[in-house]
Amino acid sequence: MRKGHVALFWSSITWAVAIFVKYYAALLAKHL
Amino acid sequence: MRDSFLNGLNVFLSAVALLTAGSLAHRALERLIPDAEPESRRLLSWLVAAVAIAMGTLGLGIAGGVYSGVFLTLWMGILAAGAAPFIRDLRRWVGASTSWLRAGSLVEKGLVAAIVLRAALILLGGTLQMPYGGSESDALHYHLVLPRMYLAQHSMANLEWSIPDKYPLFFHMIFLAGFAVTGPLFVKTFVFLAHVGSLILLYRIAFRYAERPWPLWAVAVFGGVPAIVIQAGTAMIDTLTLFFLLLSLEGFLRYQRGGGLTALAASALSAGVVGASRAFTIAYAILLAGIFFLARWREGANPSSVLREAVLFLSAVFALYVPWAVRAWIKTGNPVFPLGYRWFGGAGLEAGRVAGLESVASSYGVGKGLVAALMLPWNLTFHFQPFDYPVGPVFLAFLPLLMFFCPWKKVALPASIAAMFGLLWFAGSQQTRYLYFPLAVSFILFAATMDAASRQVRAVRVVIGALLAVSVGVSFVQARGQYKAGLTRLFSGESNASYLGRYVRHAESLAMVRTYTPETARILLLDGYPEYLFYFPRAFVQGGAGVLTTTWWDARQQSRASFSAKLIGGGITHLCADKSTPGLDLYLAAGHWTLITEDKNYALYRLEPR
Repeated sequence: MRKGHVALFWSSITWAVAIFVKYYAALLAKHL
Repeated sequence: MRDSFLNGLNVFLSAVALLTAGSLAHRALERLIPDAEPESRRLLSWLVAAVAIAMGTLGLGIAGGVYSGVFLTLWMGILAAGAAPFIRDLRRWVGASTSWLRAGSLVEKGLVAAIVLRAALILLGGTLQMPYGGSESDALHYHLVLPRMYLAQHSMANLEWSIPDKYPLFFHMIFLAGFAVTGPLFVKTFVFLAHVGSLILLYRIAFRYAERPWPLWAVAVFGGVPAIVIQAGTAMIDTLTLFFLLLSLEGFLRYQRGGGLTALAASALSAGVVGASRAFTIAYAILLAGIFFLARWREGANPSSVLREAVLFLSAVFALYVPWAVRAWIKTGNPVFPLGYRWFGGAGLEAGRVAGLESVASSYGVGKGLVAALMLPWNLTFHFQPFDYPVGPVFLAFLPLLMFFCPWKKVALPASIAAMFGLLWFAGSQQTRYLYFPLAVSFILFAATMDAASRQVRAVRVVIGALLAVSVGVSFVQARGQYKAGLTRLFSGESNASYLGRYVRHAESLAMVRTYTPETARILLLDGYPEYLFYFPRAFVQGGAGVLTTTWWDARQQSRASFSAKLIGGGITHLCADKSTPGLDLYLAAGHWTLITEDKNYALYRLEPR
C-alpha cells in the first residue's frame, strides 16, 4: 500500500470510530 | 403457559409446512429437470412452491373456495407427500452447516453464535407473539385484514371498500393459505423464515466477492441493523420483498456462472414475485431486469442472446403480474390501481383520495434536492425519524472506507444495484423499509471493501473487526424493544388475550363493541387509520374516512338518499365511529341511528328500521 493510501485508510478508520462514538454516545445518553 | 405453548406449536407447524412445500417442489424438479445445476434447481424449487401456493390460492379465491377445510386438506397433502424429501433435506442442511461451521475460525463461530442468538430472540419475542401493532401496525390495518376478510366471505369478491384489495397480492395469497388454518402466526413464521433466508442469501452472494470471514461479518452486522430487526418478527411484507429480491440476484449470479435456464428462471420468477406483491414493485422487477441484462451485454454476451434472455425474464415477471393487473382492471377499470389515476381513473377513487395517498407516501424523508441527497447518509444515521426506522451507524461509518477501498470493478453489478435502487428509493417514498434491498446489497460492497483493505494492511482485520463487534454487540441492546414485551409475556405465562388487551390500540373500544353489539352485527366503521382493524370483533365494512378506503362507503361522496339505500342494501346494522371523523354528520343524516354507548374515542350507534 502506498503512503497516500495508508493515510486515506487511517483517516477512514478515524471517521468510522468518530461516527460510532457519536452514535453510541447519543444512544447511551438517551437510555441513562 | 398454555398460549405460549400453543403459539410455539403453531409457529413450528407453520415452519415445517412451508419448508416441506419447498422440499416437495425440489423433489418434483429433481424428476422433471434431473440434469439441471443442483444449486440453481434448489433456488427454483422455492419459487415453484411459492408460485404454486399463491396462484392456487388466487384460483380458490376467485372460485369462492376459501375455506379452512380446503386449505387444511391441501396442507396435509403437502405434508404427507413432502415428508420424506423434507427429512432428507433437513439432514442435508444440518450436515452442510455443521461441516461449514467446523471449517470456520473462532471469529466466525462467535459470529454464528451472535446471529443464532439474535434470531432466537426475534423468534421468541416477536414471531411467537400475537401481532399487536406498534411496528406492525400496517399488518393489523392491512396485511392480516385481507386474509381475514377473504376467509370470512370465502372468496376474494365484494371488498369494494378496500384499496389494498385491488393491489397485486402475491404474498397475501400465501398468507391466506396458511392463515386459513393456523391464523396470523403463520404469516409471522413466513416472514421469519424469509428473514433467515435473506441472511443466508446475503452470505452466499457476499461470498462471491469477499473471502471468509468478511461475508459473515456483513451478515452479522446487517442482521443487527435496527430497521431489519424491527420487521423480522412481524407480519409485515418488506422482509419478504427483500428475500425475493436477493433470491433474484443470487439466481442471476448463478446464471452468469453457468447455472443455465434453471437459474435464469429462478431469478426471473423471483423478480416476478416481487412485482406481483405490491402496487409499485413491478418497477423493482423491471429495474432488476435492466441492470441484469446490461451487465450481460457489458460482459460481452451476444446481443441477440441477451435480448432473448431479457424477453424470457420479463415474460416470467409479467406472467405473475398480469393476473393482478386484470383483476384490478375488472374491479376498478385501472390495471395499475391506485397508481396512474390521471390516465386510467379508478372506481372508488377520486382526486382528493389519490392526493391523500400520495401525501402519505411523500410525507416520509427529507425531500429530493441535491443537498438532501448529499446529506442523506448523515440524516439516515442521526436524524432517522422522517424515514421511520433507524439504520444504525455502520453505513455512514464505513462510507469513506467504501469510497476509497472498494474494488469497484469486481463489484460492478451489486454496486449498480445499490446505486439504482437507492436512486429509485430517493425519488419515491423515502421510508427505510423500502431501502432494505439496496442496504443489504451495500453490505456486500462492505464485505468486498473489508476484504480488499485487509489484504493491504494486516492490522485492518483487528481494527475493523473490533468496530464491527461493537456494532453487533450494541445491536442486541438497541433492538431490545422488538422482543422485550414478547419475551416477558412468554416467560410470565400471560395469555394472548391479556397481552393483546394491554397492547392493541383502543382495545377498550373493541371490548365495548363486543359487549354492546350482537354477534350477527354488520358494522360500518369510521376511523382514519384503525390499527386494531384485524381484531375488530364483528363483521364490518370500512367507511370512506380511512386512509386505505375507497369512496364506496363514503357518505361525503353520495347523495343522502343513495347512501341511505346503500346502508339498507348492504345489511349494515350498526355504526362505530371515531368521534373526530370528518363528515360524521353526513353519515348520521343518512339513517335513523340510535346512540347505544360511547367512550372517549368512539361512539356506537344502531341503525333503526324506518
